Amino acid sequence: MMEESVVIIRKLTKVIGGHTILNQIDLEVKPGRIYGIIGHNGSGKSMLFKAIAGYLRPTKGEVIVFGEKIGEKAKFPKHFGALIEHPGFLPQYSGMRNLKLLAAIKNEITDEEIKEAITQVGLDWQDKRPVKKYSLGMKQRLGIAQAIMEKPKLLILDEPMNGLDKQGVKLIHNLLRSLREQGVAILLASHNRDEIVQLSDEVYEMDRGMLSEVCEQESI
Amino acid sequence: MIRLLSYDFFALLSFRKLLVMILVFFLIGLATQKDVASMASIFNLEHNVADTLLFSFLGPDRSGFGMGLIKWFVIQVVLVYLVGKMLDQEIRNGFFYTIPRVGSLHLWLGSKLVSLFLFTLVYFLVGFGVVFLLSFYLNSFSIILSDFFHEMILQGQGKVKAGLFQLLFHNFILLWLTGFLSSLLQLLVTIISNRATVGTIFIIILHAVSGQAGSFSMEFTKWLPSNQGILMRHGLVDPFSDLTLSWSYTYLSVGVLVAVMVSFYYINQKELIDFSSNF
Ligand SMILES: Nc1ncnc2c1ncn2[C@@H]1O[C@H](COP(=O)(O)OP(=O)(O)OP(=O)(O)O)[C@@H](O)[C@H]1O
Ligand SMILES: [Mg+2]
Repeated sequence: MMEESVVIIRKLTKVIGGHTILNQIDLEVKPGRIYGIIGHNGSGKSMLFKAIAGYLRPTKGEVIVFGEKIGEKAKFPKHFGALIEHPGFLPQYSGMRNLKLLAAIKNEITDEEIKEAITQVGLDWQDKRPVKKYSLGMKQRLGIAQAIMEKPKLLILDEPMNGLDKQGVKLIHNLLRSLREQGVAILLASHNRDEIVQLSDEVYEMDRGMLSEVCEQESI
Repeated sequence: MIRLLSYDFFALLSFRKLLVMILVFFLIGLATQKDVASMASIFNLEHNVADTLLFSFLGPDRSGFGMGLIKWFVIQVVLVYLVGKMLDQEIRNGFFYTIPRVGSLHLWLGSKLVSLFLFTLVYFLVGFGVVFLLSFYLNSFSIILSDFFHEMILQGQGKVKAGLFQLLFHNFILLWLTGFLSSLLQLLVTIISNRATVGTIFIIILHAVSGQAGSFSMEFTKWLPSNQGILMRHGLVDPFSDLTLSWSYTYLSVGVLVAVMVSFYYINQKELIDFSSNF
């Protein structure tokens, strides 16, 4: 049986204020694989992720996630977890409280599952400090916990290693690999070419809104 | 929807904010009490529990000067500030985590609107509650307006033609609805400009202008939203004002309706849902 695609993007173009920010993008995302995207600042990596997450209306082309067309009529994907740009939390509450409040919106997971996600990213769920007292790396980890806690089948991580120390990076790498084993489709964006190449099954490069696959040979 | 509401409501209301509210209204009540007590001793008139409560919330008279103006302005600014803090957090990436979980922009916006409605209610309930308790503790209890009140409002030209409960009721509802409308406008300006500070400053300026503008003709200032919440400028209290209660209730209802419709319209046609960038 053919594995169904998680994401299908066809000829996606987005023009904002006369600037072509995404240009004729084609991409197919299958379960159990990691897709790495590299590219300079402002090349459109985050924008592509926002398109998949349903935050923008395509100028042309289409984005289909789990068989549903995204972006039109303000539709957002299901079974989906994301960390886009910076993690934004309610600064006055603890990490656990923040995730509980977010999880309560969908109400699909138990407190145990939230604790598990927090532990998986190397934080302590019993930490009572408010998030505003967290370091950059800790917020980033909490952001990743937020993205994985609902056990999404599609995971989008925009620069997930920002601010993480060596151990943190290693931890997250292992976490992503184990999620891949469980069949999660993962999209990663980063400036760090080596890291992307090391972690990904398929590597793409974004350049001024155009996405192209980087050949295996070239990347090794 | 209910579950998102609880998120929004927690985002708006925290223990710290509640303390801020209590402190602010405590100080407002205390300042009013001091004024009332000293004025009453000058005129040698009895004052009671209702005077401190009413003078804390009636707002500035039409001249737009003095303690009434300052207290009213402080109450508005604190509300605008608290709402602004919540909007700031939400547009600084909070929405990236809430919107996909809700799965609908309309529900997301709707929940913001409802939580602002509830938050403004809580704000003024706390306000009236704190000042009432303070005043109850410091003054003799009564359920009718004091001679002092009539004297202060009408300078010996008769009696105010309204009962205590009528005044309190309209005062509360007008303040609440005006606070709600102003936070809707704040939300709207914030999502259009992508900056919570712009929304906050816009509303503060609006209040500052309205507060002072009472000294111009009411014919003009009755169109400004902030004046709807100032009972002191209404015909009910001020016999020379043609600002009626029904005008204000109509104004506020229509204003809320229009603000809600414009918010939904704006969010519907937005090309890119991203309040965190300043393009
Ligand atoms: N809200 C917006 N309105 C209009 N243009 C925008 C908006 N946000 C970003 N852009 C433009 O879109 C382009 C792509 O931005 P994007 O954030 O996707 O880049 P990126 O590849 O993620 O960069 P970085 O490595 O810095 O994160 C940039 O040229 C940027 O100027
Ligand atoms: Mg980016």
